Amino acid sequence: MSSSSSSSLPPCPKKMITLKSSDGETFQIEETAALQSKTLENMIDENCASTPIPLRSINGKILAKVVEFCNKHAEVGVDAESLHAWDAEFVNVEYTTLFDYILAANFLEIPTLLDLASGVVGDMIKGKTPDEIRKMFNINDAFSPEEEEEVRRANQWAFE
Amino acid sequence: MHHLRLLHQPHLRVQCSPSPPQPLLLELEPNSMVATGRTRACGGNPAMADGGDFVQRLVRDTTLDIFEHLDDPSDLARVCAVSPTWRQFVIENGLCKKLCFRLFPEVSSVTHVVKVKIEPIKVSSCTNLEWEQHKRNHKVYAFLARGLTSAIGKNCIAEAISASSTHRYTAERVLNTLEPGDRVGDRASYWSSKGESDPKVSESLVYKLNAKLCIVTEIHIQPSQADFHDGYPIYSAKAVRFRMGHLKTRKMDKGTVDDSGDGDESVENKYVWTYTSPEFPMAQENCLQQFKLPQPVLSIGGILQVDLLGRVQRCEKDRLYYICVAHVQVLGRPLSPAFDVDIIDLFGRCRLKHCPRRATKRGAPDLYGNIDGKRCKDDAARIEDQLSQSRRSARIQARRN
Repeated sequence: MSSSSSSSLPPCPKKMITLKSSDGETFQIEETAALQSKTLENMIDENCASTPIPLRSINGKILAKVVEFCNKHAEVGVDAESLHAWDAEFVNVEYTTLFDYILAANFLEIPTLLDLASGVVGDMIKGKTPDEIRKMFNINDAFSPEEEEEVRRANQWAFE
Repeated sequence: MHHLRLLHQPHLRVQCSPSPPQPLLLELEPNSMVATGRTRACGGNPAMADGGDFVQRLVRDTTLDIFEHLDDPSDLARVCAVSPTWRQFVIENGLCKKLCFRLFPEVSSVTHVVKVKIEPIKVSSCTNLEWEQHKRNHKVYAFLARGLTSAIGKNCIAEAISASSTHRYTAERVLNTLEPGDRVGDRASYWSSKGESDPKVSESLVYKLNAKLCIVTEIHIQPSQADFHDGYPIYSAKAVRFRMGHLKTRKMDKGTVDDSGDGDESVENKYVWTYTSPEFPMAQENCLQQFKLPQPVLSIGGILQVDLLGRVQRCEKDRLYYICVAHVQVLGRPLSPAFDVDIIDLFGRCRLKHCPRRATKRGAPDLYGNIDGKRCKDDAARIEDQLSQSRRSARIQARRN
């Protein structure tokens, strides 16, 4: 018995787009994964994604991570709990890298990544004294003595 | 419609510049509550390899994303003390105001429906009016946010205004429900509705809270048990629901408080309700029953109505259904005297007034339950005592039956 023609069709090739980082590295990403970025979605809609898309503000190291994030979040059948654990591991990085994620997510308009990374920075601030925050983020600009006094008086309750 | 006006955007379209980019300066119109539309740096935004002060380096929206993860007012206060840049950012972007709206979303959703709007106090003429205004708003909202987050359980009822019906005036008037427990001396103390043959007929009791601005977390109601009827029936309601709102008129006049017992048919014409709770089933038990609202509610206007939905108990003598309530407590936190509101119009627009001096009057507890700077015992403990006492007496009663 001859096989039916319907089962012999090759699987439809996945549509890929190419991203180019500021330092010239290129990355392939499936279109379905890229749709998490509103910026890329717009480019796909306007048929501007057939040639490599240059991303001059994102370097190769960060872009690799962003692509990894988009791929993971486009996977089907991942339960919420394990995705949550994966996310937690993803943002377990130096805070300077977190800011790079934030900048990239803001530029590419990836709300899930933006919220994830900025939430971690927010958590770093929670419960810290101004001094600890200054040290953590290497902040050098200082209040004038008058301002210092005004701020201290206005916020006394928060330090009790 | 955006309220954002770009003042200065030096690093837009700048290719990987070796020096760190200048911050994107945005001016926010004073009345815009939440600006919409993101700003994106397109072009070279060099990676923050050396870290540093992100408030100076990130664009405004991304910094907002970070700070909006802070939901404790004291975190925002500490952020203000980090550096002049940070303080300016928090104040100019009205982060404390946004926090207040996040903490009590019903306020912001109400803005769209009945235009409840919290307006800051006008500031006198000043060299830098806008900045002073921002600073003033910041102070008020930081204080408000702190008030909204510190939980003190007080009974917030100031007076009983009216009942939809009263069986015997004055012996069974709504005023009796202010007395804790179901007895005063050796006399039963409760309010009783008129009798109805239809158990579906509802009743409502209207109370004035002790502040026009009040956070309400839960309501306690003790149905009344008739010691003088066979079988000691408990005249509870089938379910309860709560509404909060304000008077349609500006001031409470003589005609408003109507404890005459005739019932008040014009209740719906007198008040504007800005909040309606879900329905809670009521047990037919003689104890102070707790109804916890799904979220704390900021009552603006200081009027609370208890809707008693449906009847469960018939009086054996006249075969009519009654609802009787021994005691009502509204638990929460009044934001007076530090805050007050003026209702401006029928649509519920109101102006928030902040009176910091009145808050620290000697001998009076301030917003945080402190007297002259010292912590005073709030009456949460007292209410807890009442609750356990009422549970105990309900058990004794049950055994007696």
